Amino acid sequence: MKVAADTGALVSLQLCGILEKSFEHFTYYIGKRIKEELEELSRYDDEIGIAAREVLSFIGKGIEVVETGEHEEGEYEALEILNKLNAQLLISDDIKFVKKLQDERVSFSTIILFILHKAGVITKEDALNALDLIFERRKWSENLIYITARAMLEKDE
Amino acid sequence: MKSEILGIRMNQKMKREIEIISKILNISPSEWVRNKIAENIQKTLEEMRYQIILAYIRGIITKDELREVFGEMTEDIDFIIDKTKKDLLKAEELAKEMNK
Repeated sequence: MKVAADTGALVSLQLCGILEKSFEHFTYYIGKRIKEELEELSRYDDEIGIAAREVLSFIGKGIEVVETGEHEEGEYEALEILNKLNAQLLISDDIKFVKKLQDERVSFSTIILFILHKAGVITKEDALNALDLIFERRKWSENLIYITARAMLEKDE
Repeated sequence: MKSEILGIRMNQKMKREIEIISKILNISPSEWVRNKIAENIQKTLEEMRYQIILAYIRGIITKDELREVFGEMTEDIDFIIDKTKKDLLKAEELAKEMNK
């Protein structure tokens, strides 16, 4: 399944250890700007920086870099990739961006955990644990996504 | 801001301790107690953010009550809840496709 992804979404999936496991089912596509954003983050020695370095190490092994036009923000580069490749999904954890687009192909990174769970690749407990891991490692404003996803998944039959 | 009175019954020892603290800090005992309660409410709300959103999803608290805690973030929370509901349904479809 083709997935256009932005920087934050890939880092979140790496923070919870799901990114590499998901390569069997998803190929993630990024452009030059997102690669640059990951490189900027990777200069830091905190958990986000380490996760960004790991994400970069997956280029060619589940993450592909494609040619795009110039973009100031990675999210809009991901949008170009979504349309250009006719990908099934664009994942981004930028609430404002996802809200602005109101496009059903655009989702939070948590949808990857939902799909893997619904497909029987990971258990519901694995998905909940992954959300807990992202929650611990992210800032509060971003955590609104993971808190909600956790609450909804917990409730989901 | 409109204020209301909340009566608190406490033992003499506690009252005396508050009086000593407030004397040292040069503020009134009621002001010191009010500040401490305010600090504690903020801390508790911070710690309870997950439970508060969970309570909202479950319909235990209203949107107005949620807004009292989260302010402008309330609209984002509503959007995320709605989007996550749709994502769960979409995930089901995509999972079926993936397993074909």
